[in-house]
Amino acid sequence: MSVLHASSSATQTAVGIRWEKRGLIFRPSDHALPFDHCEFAQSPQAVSLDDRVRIFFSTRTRDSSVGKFVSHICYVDFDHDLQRVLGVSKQPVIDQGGLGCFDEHGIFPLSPLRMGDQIYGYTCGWSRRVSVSVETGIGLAISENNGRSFRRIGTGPILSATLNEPCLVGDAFVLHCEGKFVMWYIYGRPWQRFSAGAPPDRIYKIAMATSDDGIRWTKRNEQPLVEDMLGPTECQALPTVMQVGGRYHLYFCFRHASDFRDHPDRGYRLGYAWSENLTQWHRNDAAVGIQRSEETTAWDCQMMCYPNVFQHRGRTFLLYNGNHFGREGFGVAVGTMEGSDIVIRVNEASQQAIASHLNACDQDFSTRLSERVDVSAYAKKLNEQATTIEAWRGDRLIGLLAAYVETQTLESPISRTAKSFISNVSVLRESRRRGVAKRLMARLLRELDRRLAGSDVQTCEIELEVARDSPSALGLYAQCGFHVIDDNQTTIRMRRSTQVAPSVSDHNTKRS
Amino acid sequence: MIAAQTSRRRYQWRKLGRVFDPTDYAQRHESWMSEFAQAPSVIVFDDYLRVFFSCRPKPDPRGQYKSYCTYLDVDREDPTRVIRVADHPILPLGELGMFDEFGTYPISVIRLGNTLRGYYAGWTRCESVPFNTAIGVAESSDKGTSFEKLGPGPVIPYTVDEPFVISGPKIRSFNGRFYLYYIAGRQWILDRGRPEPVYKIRLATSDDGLNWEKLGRDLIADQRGTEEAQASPDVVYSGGRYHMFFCHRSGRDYRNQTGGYRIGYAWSEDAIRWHRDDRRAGLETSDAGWDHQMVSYPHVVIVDGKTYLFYLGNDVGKQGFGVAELEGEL
Repeated sequence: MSVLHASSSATQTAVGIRWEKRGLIFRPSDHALPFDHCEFAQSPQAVSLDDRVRIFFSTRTRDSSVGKFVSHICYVDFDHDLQRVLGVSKQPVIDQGGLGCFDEHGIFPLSPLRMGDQIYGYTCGWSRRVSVSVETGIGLAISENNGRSFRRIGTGPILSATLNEPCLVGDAFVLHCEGKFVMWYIYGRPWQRFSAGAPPDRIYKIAMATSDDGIRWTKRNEQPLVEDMLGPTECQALPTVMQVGGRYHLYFCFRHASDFRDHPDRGYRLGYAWSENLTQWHRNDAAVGIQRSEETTAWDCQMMCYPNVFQHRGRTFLLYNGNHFGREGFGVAVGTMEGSDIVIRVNEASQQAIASHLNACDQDFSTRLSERVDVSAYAKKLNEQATTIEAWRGDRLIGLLAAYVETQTLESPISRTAKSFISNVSVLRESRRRGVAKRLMARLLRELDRRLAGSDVQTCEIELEVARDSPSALGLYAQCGFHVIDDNQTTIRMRRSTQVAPSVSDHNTKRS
Repeated sequence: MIAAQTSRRRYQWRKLGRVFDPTDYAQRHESWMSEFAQAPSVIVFDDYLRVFFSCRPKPDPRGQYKSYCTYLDVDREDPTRVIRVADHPILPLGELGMFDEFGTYPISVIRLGNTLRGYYAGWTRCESVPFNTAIGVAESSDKGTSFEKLGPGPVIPYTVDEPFVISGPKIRSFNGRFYLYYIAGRQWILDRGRPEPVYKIRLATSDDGLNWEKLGRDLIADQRGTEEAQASPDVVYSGGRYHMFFCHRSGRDYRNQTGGYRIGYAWSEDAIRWHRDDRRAGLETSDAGWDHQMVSYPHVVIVDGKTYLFYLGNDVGKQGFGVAELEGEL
């Protein structure tokens, strides 16, 4: 076995999406909207149609009987590049809820999910209370005409308060992923009065639910989904999620619970978290990739809120509101994903491609690879005997993880352990610090899971050797579950040992 | 055919009289019990019956009530004889903005080993309609002297076809599974400008009493039109079948003798499919006295071979509840 290893091929923290702001793209005051609205286009949420992008938003009328606002859902159509407005809705897409219903006093927002010929509109319905201002619930209305109008599936909500999510269930965002529906939403904790005489303030958190049909949901919240950055009274709202590059990227807005309307320091800004498995979420606001404008006259200098991420014709967009919760309208930013142009494949690279990649990385190995082995012979061996996990950009092999994989218990029939060895991990210099090595490793682990499921193997061991002077590589392997088993002058030997799942799980088959 | 004949028999209840009049305590417990003793729910102890119920202090200046759960004990041999009355509410009202901030009524209690578990309806106040309700759950480890909520929110959520006013819980355990009979609002109607809720009897079942599966349909066919409101679905198993006593009123103009609450009856072989037969209920208003205008919110308990029916009198129990004893068996 070869004991070769390229150093510094790993990154500690993968970078998120970088957003380039295009500014305000929709001002309600410039358009003829129903009820002569001229202010507020809140919580824009897009559905990608074949010939356009339809963006739903909430606008307001004043309820003359009590002098309070009622939110309505309208839409605006844009061209493919979100540069030109094609038209606006002539009337709200859904009528008001009935007497005493959860959505009697407005819908804010509506989140669209395209389902074949239909669009599912997940609504956040509002109804007024006496001791506190409002209670909310999540409803479902379905459109058969691309979102021009929606019909409720019933008068009640599809998701509402439960034992430990006691109020203010709302802000649904739904994706169809891995064969099931996943919903991110928010729920409230008991209201608080932060100073005597002040009106009660809300506190809400992001949560998750799953469903087989998008209608009947099961809440999945044994612990908080997204860590608080502003302490236990942090308010987290409007989760929106996109799956890119093997990860789920969750954007949301967050603020302090009190004095948030007029104090920019306490008001809404955007937060970010990511997950690889939909279960564990890692909050990393540093990677949100977009900030409030510094220019003091900018429309989004004090506040950024109500984000919505979506993809249309291969491009990635982020819609959001700025100052005053979207009074002036909404804007857009265009995303570039670090590594989104990189594709991971297994056992496809030719001997020549491997050799050429290794030669390009040659001087980056802690000891030059060509000084230790015959590169073309090594490439031939990897090609013939190893499992190669490959990162491709176009037709160029930019990253390579090669492992000798054992899927039977030949060496250790009694302990039923299958031992694999990672011979090589290397990433081209210009493609470093983008999480490529981590993606390669994750793919190897999935590949092993898949191959070992259903076998007689009980324990899966993977070993590798890494140069002492490669702290970033050591960090990556530690993150991936490897621990040091041997430490000498120049190299460190690491091992990862896991129990094999007794049978093939749904999850593994779907991802393989 | 004998069985068929007996199954159509009208039940004969012998009224034993009023058990409790909360206005007797208006001075002593002014802050939480001035009037109303509603929705009795009995747990049997060795030498007494503990009757949980809900009561109210005087309404606030805007005429709005709060309601509290409490209990009293009666003699097991003579359920009209009150042994003691609790001197405090057993369950706190909810925190700011919670579903039970303004009231806890009614409560239904079940014994689980050494623990008592109570399912109660919590009340909140709304702007366009006067209130909304939802069902919460709490437990007691001191025989019901105090209950602790299992969470700040409701245990039965609102759903597409049960949009609001979820109330009237009656918790039962049959064949190792929990059955929760309750009511769910169907619509709010405007009766001469005043919003009035229409609600129907529903059922959810559960293995643990916390994660519930709703049956998703009305249990009891309407007899007073689609706007009939049905409440207090009290179920008891006896003589090889399930019996439900409940009450019902008209959708509109019900604050009088014609439209007001009556006691209805239904039976079932499986606790799920019910056959309504109100003629058999057998409990009517008296000619005079505390229950001459109304009898409502029935609760049946079988103890020492006797079948008792606790019920509310005039004004939905404003002057308390009484008890009747069945001639024979259900």
